[in-house]
Amino acid sequence: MNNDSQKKLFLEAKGISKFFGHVTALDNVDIELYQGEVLALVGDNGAGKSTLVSILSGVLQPDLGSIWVDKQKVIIDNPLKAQKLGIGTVFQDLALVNVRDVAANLFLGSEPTKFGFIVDRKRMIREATDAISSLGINLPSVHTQVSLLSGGQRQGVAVARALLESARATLMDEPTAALGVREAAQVINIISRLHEQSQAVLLISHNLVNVFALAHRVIILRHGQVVGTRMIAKTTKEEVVSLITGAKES
Amino acid sequence: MDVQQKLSSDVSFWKRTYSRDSFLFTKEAAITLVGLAIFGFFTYKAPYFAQFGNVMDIARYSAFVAIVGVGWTFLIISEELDLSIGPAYSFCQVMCAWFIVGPGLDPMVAFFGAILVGAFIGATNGFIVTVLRVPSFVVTLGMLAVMMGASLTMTGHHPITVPRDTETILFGLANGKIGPFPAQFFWMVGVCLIGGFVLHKTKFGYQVFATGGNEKAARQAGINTKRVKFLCFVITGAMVGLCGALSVGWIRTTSPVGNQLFTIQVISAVIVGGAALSGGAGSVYGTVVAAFILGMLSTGLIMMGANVDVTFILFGSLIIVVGTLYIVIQHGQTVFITKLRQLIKGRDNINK
Repeated sequence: MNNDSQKKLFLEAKGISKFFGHVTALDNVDIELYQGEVLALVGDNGAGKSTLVSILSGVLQPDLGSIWVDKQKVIIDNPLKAQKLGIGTVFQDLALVNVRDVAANLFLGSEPTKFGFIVDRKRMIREATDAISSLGINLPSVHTQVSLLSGGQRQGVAVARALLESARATLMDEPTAALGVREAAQVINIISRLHEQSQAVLLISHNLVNVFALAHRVIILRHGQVVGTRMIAKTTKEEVVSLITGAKES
Repeated sequence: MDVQQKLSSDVSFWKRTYSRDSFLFTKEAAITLVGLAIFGFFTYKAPYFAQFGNVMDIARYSAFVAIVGVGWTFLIISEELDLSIGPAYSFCQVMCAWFIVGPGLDPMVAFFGAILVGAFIGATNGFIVTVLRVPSFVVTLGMLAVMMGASLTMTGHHPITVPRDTETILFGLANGKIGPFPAQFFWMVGVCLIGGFVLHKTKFGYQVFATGGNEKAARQAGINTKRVKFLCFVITGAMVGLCGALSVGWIRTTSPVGNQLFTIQVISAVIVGGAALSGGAGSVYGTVVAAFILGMLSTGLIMMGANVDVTFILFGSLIIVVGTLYIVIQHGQTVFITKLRQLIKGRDNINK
């Protein structure tokens, strides 16, 4: 699976920099994401992980640098553009509208329509039900308001939405934070299944146990810079931790 | 075992048939019941209340509240508000009448002119709120005063009256009848049907709900939330303009100092109709039924001999009471006892 000869480059970001006023959130970051791999992105708070995900998902634009998908240069200036390229995202705060039902949330911003402007509610319900059941998320019904769901169920909805959007790659920002043990296991299940479907997964996590269980490769960010890239098979938790904290220079 | 199985299948049947999606469990159902109860009460108490003519009169007065209410429903679902509607309504009346009397425009041109003026006021509010990021409360409060002053300055406190002998289809459109139904009734039905369709069935409507429900999430899903909010302001403004034009076509005169109650009526209708100030919730149906409830209350009370001024107290109290009721439904009444204790003891719970 993980032979270098079989790997196909899906997404590449070159020299990404992002500034917020005087703060440099990302400084010349290069990242490559291959099909069928789970790439972990780790780093301390404020290292720039979420900023990088926002850039790759079209919520933020980089100040410098370029993004390439299938060796074509692309400009992802809108989340819908990312969806068209096959990139789905689970945001850290889930990005759900709590007062709306599950179906409306699954298709937020990309509702199926008739004639281009009337929402095709029937199709929406059908596809939402299919998506939820194929993921094995335990929900009473897709008509349920999201505010009535448990934390794990909400996470499930957020993941399901990312999967509906993402034909080829899923970016997950802390998918198991704020989850119970069983619910976290469910999400981890989903991630490993994605990998089996030869999708690319970019996993951001504080939880090194999960990272080492799921990922093939890990990129370590520190103060907005990439300080190391390691194959999981050839590194240890101690080394990764020391790279995160800066105890060891790469 | 058998009984239990039967019971559980029964329960699942009920759950399926009357799921949360079904009408019976909604605020809309509650508001309909309240409306019917009030209608029943006045029919019983005031002998002429249920006569067709009186009901149509109520419909005629409620129509204006309902039409602007539809716009306001869009706005509040997108988590913005517009306090300037009452004075803006007066201003659009003044402009419509002035278009006819001043430069002598054709009344139909004046009609569309008034709608454009309204939409422009809404667009100004929307521009300042979305682009300059000033809270809508501040912007529209300022606009309220500006509109009030503008109509008074333009008219010198005197109403502008359109001459009786002006012949135009506008008066027919605004004040005619189809069968026994007054024109205002059809305008209201039309606006509500279109408004309800746009809000609840179209992609734009879904975007309005998403924007007000969780703006950040909506943006992350690729929705242009600024444009959505801006358009909601414009819709509200256009509805205000439409009402201004219709009322000139109906009574053929303007009230530059009137309509103080209008803002309060519209906001009451929207809140009583189940929309949440926190955004993301509300319906055109609820607003319209609530507009009728308010119309019935003021008409009914006056028919029972109450003073007109009482209606001010009534509408104000109604906003507070219904707002409280929706909070009770949401959080349960025990919260209030805790809060009261905190208020008296002056000690705030860290967990709120």
